[in-house]
Amino acid sequence: MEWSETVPAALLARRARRAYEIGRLRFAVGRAWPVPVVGAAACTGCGPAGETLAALAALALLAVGLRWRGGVAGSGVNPGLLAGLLPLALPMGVVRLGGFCPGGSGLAVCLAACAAGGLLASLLLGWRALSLDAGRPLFLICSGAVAACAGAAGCAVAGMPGIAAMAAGLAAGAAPAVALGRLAAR
Amino acid sequence: MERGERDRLQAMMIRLADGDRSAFHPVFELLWPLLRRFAARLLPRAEDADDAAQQALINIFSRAAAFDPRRDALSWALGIAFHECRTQRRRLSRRREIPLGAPDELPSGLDGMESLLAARLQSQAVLELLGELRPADREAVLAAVGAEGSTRPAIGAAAYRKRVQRAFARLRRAWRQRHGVV
Repeated sequence: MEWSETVPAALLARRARRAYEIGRLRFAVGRAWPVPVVGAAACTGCGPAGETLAALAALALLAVGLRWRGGVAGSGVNPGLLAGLLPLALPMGVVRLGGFCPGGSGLAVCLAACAAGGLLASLLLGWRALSLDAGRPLFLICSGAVAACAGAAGCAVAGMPGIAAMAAGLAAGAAPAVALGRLAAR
Repeated sequence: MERGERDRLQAMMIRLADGDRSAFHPVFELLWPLLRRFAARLLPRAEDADDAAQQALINIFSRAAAFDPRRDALSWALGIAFHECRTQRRRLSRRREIPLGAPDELPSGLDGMESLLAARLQSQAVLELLGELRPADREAVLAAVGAEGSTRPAIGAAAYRKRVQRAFARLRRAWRQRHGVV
């Protein structure tokens, strides 16, 4: 008996494809375990809960979605999470250790910490991107988005200005990475 | 499966695990006929073999994202197929659909039947691997286990022991390559 008589090839291929996509999604969810860890760390801060939770939700969606997509996009998740720890931890460290709580004179220190965290994260990702043979722009965009979401969860201690400062730091750090990437490509 | 096809399967599985959807159809086309042949060797009825092969194929694609590129793709896939065939046989034995031989050969109780089936399935797979060994190794293994019709090679005791040891090591290695576990 020919196999095509029992189950048509196209039908079996469709079932296999669906199993593959579901398997990838399950795999992506399983590998997103650092997101709750980042969330727990971010929730110990004294930032606005709404902004922190929104950043964490975006981070979870992004981490699972990129991992499910795979390729260069998926490979940017872990470096993005690692780099995102800098803008996450710096402002929270300043708040906890320095005793600056945003709202008063400590706001400037918090904003500087957010901007510095973003800048460092971006430089780290740019350095990592240089080791790739192909797909650097996509890697930078995907890992940068993950780092931005993780960082935003920490910079929420300074509210929207903190998140904006971190984004400015990320953008400033990306410029040399892009320039170096173009130089390396020549 | 020829060396070239095996290398192609390995390369395509790595790409598929990385999320490259364009590797899906090549993997499907390489694996499906192979799984059908493999299941047909382990299950006596064509319909059962087809069911097991289909389920194995679905399981392989379902786990493709977690495939470790350091592993051999063929052994990995056949390991999943072997497990699926065994599961299918257990399922069938519970429904008592597999003719096991004369009624007086049947052990009493479900556990006994499952053990018998598992043993038969394993021994069939081992026999297949034995057929792929070098004749001298095959002869040594069969003589060591006292198989019917086998004779001990006319060599010294120490040389015979060494040959048996090497033959079993090759058999274990072949089993590991084919099924992933010993």
